[in-house]
Amino acid sequence: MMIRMRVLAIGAIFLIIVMLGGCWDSEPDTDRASALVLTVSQASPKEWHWTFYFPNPTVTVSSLSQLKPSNQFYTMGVTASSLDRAYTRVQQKLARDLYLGQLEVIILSSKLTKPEMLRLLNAYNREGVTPKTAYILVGTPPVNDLALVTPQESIPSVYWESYFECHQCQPEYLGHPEWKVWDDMVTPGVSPVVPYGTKAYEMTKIAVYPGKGRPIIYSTQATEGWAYLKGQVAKETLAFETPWGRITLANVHGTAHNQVRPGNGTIDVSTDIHLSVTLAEWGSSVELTPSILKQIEILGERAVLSRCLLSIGEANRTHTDPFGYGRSLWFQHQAPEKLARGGWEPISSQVTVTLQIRSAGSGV
Amino acid sequence: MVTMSVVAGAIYIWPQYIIQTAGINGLWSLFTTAGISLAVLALQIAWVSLTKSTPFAAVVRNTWGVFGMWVVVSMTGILCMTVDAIMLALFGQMLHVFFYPLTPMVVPIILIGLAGIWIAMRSLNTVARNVQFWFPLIILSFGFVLFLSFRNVRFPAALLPSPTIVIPQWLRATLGTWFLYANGAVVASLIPHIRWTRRPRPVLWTALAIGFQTMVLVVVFVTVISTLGPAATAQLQWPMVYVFSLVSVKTFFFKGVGMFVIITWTTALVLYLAVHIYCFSWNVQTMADLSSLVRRWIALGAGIVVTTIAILIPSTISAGKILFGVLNPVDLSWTVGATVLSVIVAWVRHRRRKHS
Repeated sequence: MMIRMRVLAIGAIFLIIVMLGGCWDSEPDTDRASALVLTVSQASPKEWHWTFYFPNPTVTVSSLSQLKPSNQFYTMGVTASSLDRAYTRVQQKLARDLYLGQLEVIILSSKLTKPEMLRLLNAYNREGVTPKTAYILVGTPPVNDLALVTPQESIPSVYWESYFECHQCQPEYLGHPEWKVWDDMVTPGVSPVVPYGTKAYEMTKIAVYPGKGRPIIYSTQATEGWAYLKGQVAKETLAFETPWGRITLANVHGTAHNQVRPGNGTIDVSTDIHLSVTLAEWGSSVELTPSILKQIEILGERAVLSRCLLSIGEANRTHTDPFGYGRSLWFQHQAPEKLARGGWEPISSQVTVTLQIRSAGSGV
Repeated sequence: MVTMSVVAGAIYIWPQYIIQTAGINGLWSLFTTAGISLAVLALQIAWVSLTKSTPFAAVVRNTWGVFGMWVVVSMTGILCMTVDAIMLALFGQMLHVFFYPLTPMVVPIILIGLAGIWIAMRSLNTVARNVQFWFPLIILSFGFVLFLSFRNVRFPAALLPSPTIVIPQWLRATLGTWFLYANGAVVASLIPHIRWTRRPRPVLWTALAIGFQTMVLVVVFVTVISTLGPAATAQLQWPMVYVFSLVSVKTFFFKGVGMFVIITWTTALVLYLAVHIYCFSWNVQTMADLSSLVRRWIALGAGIVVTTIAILIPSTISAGKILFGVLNPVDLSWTVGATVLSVIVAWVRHRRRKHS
């Protein structure tokens, strides 16, 4: 009996070892095409154009010197009606297994409406292996201009991924991973925000999605205001003319605190913004005194405030809420019926900005 | 050991259902279920101490006689085994979706089933030592990944309790959480085996065990809701897996820290199955006065039944339907009904014996 048990146990262990190999899922890298960037734009009313970017397998350290940076990727474009159709088409064309587990950036055309984008993101979410931390960008077609490689890297890497991961590089944190955008899309009371780019290596605006239809592009200043109101300013600079010459405030960063209450047909918000800055540039003949610093601070506060008001004005004009005030109300469960049903209410905002010069200049 | 036997392997699908039914108020349902579970277990312990016997089957025999014992134990056994099978099926489907898309789904199910059977066929000591060894590791790695995912918390405000509580929703969500606590028989049959250092205080220990499980569930609930918000959570099939998949540490050895969770959950599920199958076979052994060798074969048989049911469940959707639509209500009413009745009968007999 014991021997039989032993045989059984050994058999079971053997079976486990064989099955644990997961041979079904392991594929050699040469049989697999691992996409880093996906771009989507409209081809016809029913069909979209999908382009997948793959790192060029022939790029080795020795061949790098002869390659232009743009050759570090090869692309594969197809026209299909849905994400999964596009996978199949690309796989057919490549004769390799398409793998999206390494995807870093998704670039969408600004012509996509909110329902279309939600459909796309839902399909993307249902795919088990796709990383939900991939960044989403929006651009005007042809969006392929935005799919860039970092010129300095020896191993092919996507520019926007490196940029959004770099906390020292961005004036405002604009990077929006897929899961946050999707989350904003399905949560009532907030208009999803996606960074919007027009040119290569330039991302200073946001695309805000209203209830339906195409995104509304906020101006650069309104985008800055949005970042101040959200407390997402990381390393901004402010420059303005004063009686003491041109002043530049650098390393502007800080926090924002909101209080949201339901108003009479409006959303009443009071926001406190606290910023610390470095005084970087001032007239060479000016002798700085505490009272001058105080006045510079007040001028800086005004500059920030005007951007904030511009942003709120833009939101009220376009019936959007990129700040998520409506969502805060919804979470507090005192949301008016209109908001819970995905409607919009005007924002009545009171903003207080406190700006403090931490140091005057750095270095000498 | 009691604490360890309560580790449920099912939290990966968990918050979706109660958020769908009760929204943010799901938290109250969770506490209600924990309360019911605590009451039932206290009653079971009272029952065990009134009859002064172990395991569960012997307790039932002393109260209901031989025929009643077969009815009660087989009913409880069938319910427990079906719940186990659904846990196994859901877990296999989750592994298939996220980690082994090209591997047939039966492979992980059979593997986990085999590992569970293998441990369950050993002696009580081995089962207990295995649980004791793995438990801290499971909790540590789970805590580690949870800690990393706190970075993604966006909406602490989403946790504020709502001023309005809708009673039917609350009750339905309570029902939907029950399967996580449906392991009463296990604890009841293990109670007499705790080596008491001082005065035995089973009620305290059970309360601690249930408290610990509830704490883990509350942490899971809080993490998921404050990361995704209730609207998004209700749309996801695997909210917990989704939240953990968002953890990516760029400077770490590998990108997917979620791997830790998979190891954790697989081990937890193997142990959960092992403890359940062990207790079932032990109960059958006592009922029919069998040798311990036969008990092993019973464990093997029970394990095969569980694995087979798990393989036969065609999809996650049907598994969820069976679990929430059929098993949860049946199991809850059966457990509460049978326990209350049994305690009354046992108490009456106990008093009569005292007087005569």
